[in-house]
Amino acid sequence: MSSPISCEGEMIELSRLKKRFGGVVAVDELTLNIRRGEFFGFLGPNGAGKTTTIKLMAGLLKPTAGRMRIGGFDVVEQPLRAKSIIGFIPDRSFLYEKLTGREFLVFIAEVYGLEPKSYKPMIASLLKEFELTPWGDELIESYSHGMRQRLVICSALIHHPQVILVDEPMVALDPKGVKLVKELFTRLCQQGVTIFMSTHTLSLAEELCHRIAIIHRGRLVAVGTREELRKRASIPQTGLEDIFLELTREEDESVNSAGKDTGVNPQA
Amino acid sequence: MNRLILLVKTQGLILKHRVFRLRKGVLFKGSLLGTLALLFIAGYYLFFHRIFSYLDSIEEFPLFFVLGLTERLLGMVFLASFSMLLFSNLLTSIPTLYLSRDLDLLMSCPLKRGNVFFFKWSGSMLNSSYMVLIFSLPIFAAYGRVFEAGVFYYLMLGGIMLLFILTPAAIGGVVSLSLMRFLPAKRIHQLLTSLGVICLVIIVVLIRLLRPEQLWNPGSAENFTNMLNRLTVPSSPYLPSFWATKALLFARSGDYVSLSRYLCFMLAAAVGTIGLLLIIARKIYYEGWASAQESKKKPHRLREGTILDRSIRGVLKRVNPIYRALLIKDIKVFLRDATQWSQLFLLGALIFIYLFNIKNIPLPTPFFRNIVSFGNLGLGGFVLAAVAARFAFPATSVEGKSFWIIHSSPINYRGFLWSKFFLFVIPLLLLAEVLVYSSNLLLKVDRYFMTMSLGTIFLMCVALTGLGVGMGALFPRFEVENYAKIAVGTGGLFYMIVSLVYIAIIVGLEVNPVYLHLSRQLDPHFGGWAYSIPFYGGVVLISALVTWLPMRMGVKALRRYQLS
Repeated sequence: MSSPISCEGEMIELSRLKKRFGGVVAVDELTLNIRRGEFFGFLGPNGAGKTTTIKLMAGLLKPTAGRMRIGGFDVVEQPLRAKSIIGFIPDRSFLYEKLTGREFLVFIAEVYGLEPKSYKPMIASLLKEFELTPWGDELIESYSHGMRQRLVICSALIHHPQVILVDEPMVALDPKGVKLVKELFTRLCQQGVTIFMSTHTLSLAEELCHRIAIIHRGRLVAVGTREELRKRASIPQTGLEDIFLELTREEDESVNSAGKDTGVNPQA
Repeated sequence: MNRLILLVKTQGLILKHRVFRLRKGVLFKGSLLGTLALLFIAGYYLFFHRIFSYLDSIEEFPLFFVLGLTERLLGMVFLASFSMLLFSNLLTSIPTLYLSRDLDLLMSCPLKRGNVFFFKWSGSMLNSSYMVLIFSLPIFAAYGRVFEAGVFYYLMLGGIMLLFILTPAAIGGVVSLSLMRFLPAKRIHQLLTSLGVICLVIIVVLIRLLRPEQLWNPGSAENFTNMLNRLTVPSSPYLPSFWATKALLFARSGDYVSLSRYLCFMLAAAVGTIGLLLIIARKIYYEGWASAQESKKKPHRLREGTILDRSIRGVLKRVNPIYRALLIKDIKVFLRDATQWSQLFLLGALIFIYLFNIKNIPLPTPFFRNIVSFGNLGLGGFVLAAVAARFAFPATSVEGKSFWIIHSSPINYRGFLWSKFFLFVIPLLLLAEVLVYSSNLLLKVDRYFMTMSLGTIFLMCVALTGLGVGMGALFPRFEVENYAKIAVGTGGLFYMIVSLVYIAIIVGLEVNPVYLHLSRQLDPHFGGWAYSIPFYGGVVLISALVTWLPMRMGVKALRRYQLS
């Protein structure tokens, strides 16, 4: 579909991205630039707009305003080219229950235009790496939640994506699976793959991410390395949890005071 | 009891939100569909109003004959409704009672299993019955209007219909419970096979009870009395449809004693069957549900590169690899998902009844045989539309909650939808051509009619598949768990309406050339061939438009689709 992109600069560019559902603004004027090979963490409380942002980038939702470019391709204007370099791992994965794990991976590989001689060894190696080989020929309907999550991760990697969009990757994984995924993501980043990860698990973001963005009520509250965020929150020598709580509290206060000034209840 | 009310209230709340919290686009689409459906129902009502008015106005027919004919007609409507209710209750109850996702939650709550069962069974009954009610009520309303029924008739009509839908729902429930208990749950596909066969048998028996050929050819009766005797002889006095017909007739005539008698029969049947259902449910529902859960988790090993896999790949060798992957996936999922392929039984039943009836129509002359062959095109189109509604229309919706995989992949929706089109058009073409060819052989039609019917059914098949796949993408229902439900939503209803209009236009356009041909049989100098060309040209053009336009709109709708 599209040839590999040699992108020295930004791999993900979000510019004043906005998504509105009826009267609710889920993502508001979000601007982000993420470099090739960067592991980017996207944090926020429940309902902050993390999943909506990821779905917008994966082409599952259309933005109300703003622009998104992945690997130089506009997601709205050139969806097929953008999607061909993305690996998407959703938080809740519904799969084709009546295919076997291996058949599902073959399907995905062919959908991404891969040839059998290249995808067959890849599938074998992914199934092995994720310890799914004994289950490869079972129907997906008999898989546990964790096995499905492993299979989805395999399917997102099969076409050698340049950008991985991942929403809550560790949900349902056992400790061994978590370790496996952490090592894999780190290795992929070193190989130049850009990872955009949304998570609630602050320790995970703290451990893996080069930079972290905090989103609250659809708006970007802060972005930077852990050090930069600490300075921004004005609380030295502390962990990401305190920084996160401080920054989201600040945002709550500013919205509430804006509501009082205008007589509008921000919670309404 | 309180818990049951809570469950019903929650369901009511869900329904309320579905109706009142629609997004703008959906609201517009919904109102448009609603208006169209209302118009269709109004037209349907007027059609039957006209039929009853016509029967009422023929002065040569004595009143007792008109009433006898009307009774027979209403009896047919009730019998057809009864068989449809049985059929759809049987097909809906297993997925609703055993496979619904909310059962995990309900069974884990401190709720009585009897309450859970009753709640799910009621839902299954409503889902199975509302379409039959929509299609039968306008007929009964038209009957009441033409034969000047009072308010009492309409009040009674509500009661009769309520009692009427309870019994088949209870019978459907009893059969499903028994099948799920006595067949090993891991063999759900065997179970659905049995269900399909049961449905087929029931439908054939009921259709035979109608003796439709008697109504078809009233002129062949020796005299009025003989014919009326045949018409008024109760074909099956033990069926609830017979009691409902009688109750409706007595509600109109105001014979309260006879009305009460038939209402009592209906009430007794409903109470009896529901009582039996609840007793059986108490004993075996939970065990059946539990073993169905186990069967879902049971590993089912399939070897890589099976014969099926290799043969599909061989056949599709020249197809673009991306669309080939989609086709292979669709074929495998279809063959492995019993809820999908079990719909084939509906197809079997339809074909069987169709050919059976063609064979039984008494046709004395070649002229009549050709006329019937022509009318048969309309019927064939209707059968095709019904089949396409079950298979082609759900083609997109069947992706279900896994649609995110397609939506986030670099798949061109034009190819995606056309691959679905080709997946269904080829088997449907085979089916349609064989059906029309064999029925024309039975009718012994001439070469002109054979060629014309085969050509027309070919175009109809392509158009109805395009319409189905395209409209299915315009009105996707990814959230629906039960495959059989996809075709009976508003989109499915809309599809059936548009299909019927299309079939009517095609048959209407061909009336002229057919008239010319028949006239030439009587007088070889009659008219020229050239006169037929614009009509056949119109058929080709409209069929092409009906294929292409909905597909194009479907592709556009999928491109715009937002997966929240």
